[in-house]
Amino acid sequence: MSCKICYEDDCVEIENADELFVALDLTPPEADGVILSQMGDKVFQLIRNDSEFLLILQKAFGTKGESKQPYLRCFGNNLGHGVTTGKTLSKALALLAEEEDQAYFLQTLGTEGLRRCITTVADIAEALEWLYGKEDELFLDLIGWDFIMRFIHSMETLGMVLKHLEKSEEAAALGKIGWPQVLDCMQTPADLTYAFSGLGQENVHALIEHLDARKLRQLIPVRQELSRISQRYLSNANALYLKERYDRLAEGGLS
Amino acid sequence: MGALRGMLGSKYRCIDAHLHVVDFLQDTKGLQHCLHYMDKGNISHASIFGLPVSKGWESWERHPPEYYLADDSKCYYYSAVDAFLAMELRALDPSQQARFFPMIGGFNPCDKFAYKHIERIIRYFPGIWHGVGEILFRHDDLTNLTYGDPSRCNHPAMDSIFDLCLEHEFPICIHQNITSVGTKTYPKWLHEVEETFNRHPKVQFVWAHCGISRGVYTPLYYQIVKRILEHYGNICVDLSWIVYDEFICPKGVLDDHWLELCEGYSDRVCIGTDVVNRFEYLPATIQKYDMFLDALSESAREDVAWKTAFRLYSPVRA
Repeated sequence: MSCKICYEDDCVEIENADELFVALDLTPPEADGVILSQMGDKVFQLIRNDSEFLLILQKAFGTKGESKQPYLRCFGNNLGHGVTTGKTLSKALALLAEEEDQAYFLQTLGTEGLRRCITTVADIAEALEWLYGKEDELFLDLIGWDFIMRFIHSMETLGMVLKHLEKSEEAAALGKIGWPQVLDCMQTPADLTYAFSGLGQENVHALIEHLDARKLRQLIPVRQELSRISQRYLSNANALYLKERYDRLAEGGLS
Repeated sequence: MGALRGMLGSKYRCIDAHLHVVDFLQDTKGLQHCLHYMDKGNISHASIFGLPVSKGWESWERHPPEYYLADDSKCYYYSAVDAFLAMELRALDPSQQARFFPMIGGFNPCDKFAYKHIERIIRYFPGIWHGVGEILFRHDDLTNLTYGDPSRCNHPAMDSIFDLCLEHEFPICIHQNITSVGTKTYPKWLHEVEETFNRHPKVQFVWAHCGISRGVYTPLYYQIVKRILEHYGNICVDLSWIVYDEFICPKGVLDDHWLELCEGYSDRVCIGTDVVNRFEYLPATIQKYDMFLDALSESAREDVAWKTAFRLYSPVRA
């Protein structure tokens, strides 16, 4: 399998992704689109796996500040052939960097393509690391919270996802997950500290509001822990609020 | 000429006098793959090196490095490279083997026992070695990223290596920067090179890249190289890597002084790609010398493209 490409006075046969990389390297960055567009569907006959896809992506995306969508369009609907793992997904998002390009990339991969890349909560977190603003939301909507929650069984794992969201998005995400499921993630004192350290103070307030007597006893088994946790993780207002609820709901059953 | 012309290779039959068949992770795409691109590049033979160091993947790095400069992980000496090189070579048929001039290089040049490594490699893989190299001495960031003392060509441990080279008539290819990246006002490390050349006048040295590396500059550079060639008859130079792009043909314009120098000393000058396992770059990298070879006399061109390297490296010596 080879593909003929021409630029200025020369034509060469390209046999594989490595040679395509050399061609892109020898020609100026503004020629990348010209070269890739000559290949059409054959691009994914030359680029056979994730590492080859990233190789080309790194070279083709050496252009500074320009839209990378023309390059992505060269890959067309075959993008999923070169993006099959969480590592590739996060590296590609890092390389794309521009929000519009990331949005185009995510939409082209779609729900099915994105879900296929994700096997652990770390895959989700590492993708979110490179997404900001609306693209966070787009990514989460595309993969869906029902899918995300399959990987989340503790506040540590939930925190890995939430820490990459802006505070306003965090509240919306908690709303979509639902407080019952959030509380299900909180089974140990360590879960409580993950929640208090990871969530914004407004959402911490909302969380305290949802802790009933049984849950408070489960998460803060002794009163000495209450002051330590409050001092380390909570605002004054939230510390007072937690103490008030603890005194009222939990204290009766504790020594 | 268009930018893609390089992928078609050189119009002159060449010897690549400086080719690494493994990368800094000690991976190789294999010599068959290498031969495929040598053919495309019009490269008849190649002097092949491993790399004496391997880049580690340290605990603090989430992603593996791909190059020695990729992160702060250190490099360490990796002697197995010579055995791997020998096994790769033995897997070829004899006519293919004859196109490669393999060199021994997997040792720590600051270890006074290093000569024993060469002896062992010759004992276990006899009859295939053409020389020693590329030995990495003063090499900017790579030196700083390698465990152990900074290596230098006048290190006492090297004396026994040079003696061994003389015994076997091995040419030895050395990488020693003429100065440090941070000292651009005088050739800080030239005295180490000259001390070595003086102390071992019968050893055949090849000074890789004429002592230049990324970010290295010294005043009076071409004059220094000319004096070295005049003064030390046992020195050859290879024009591989960035010395060509930055000094001999900067911004695509040939430097007349270098041209004159290479014309005059053509029997001691050779060209190389310094490709590191990415063999697909061989055609374009060797082709860049066409412009330089065009400008030489026919006799000098033959020397630089082919004869010097063939004389230096082609005999099997141990």
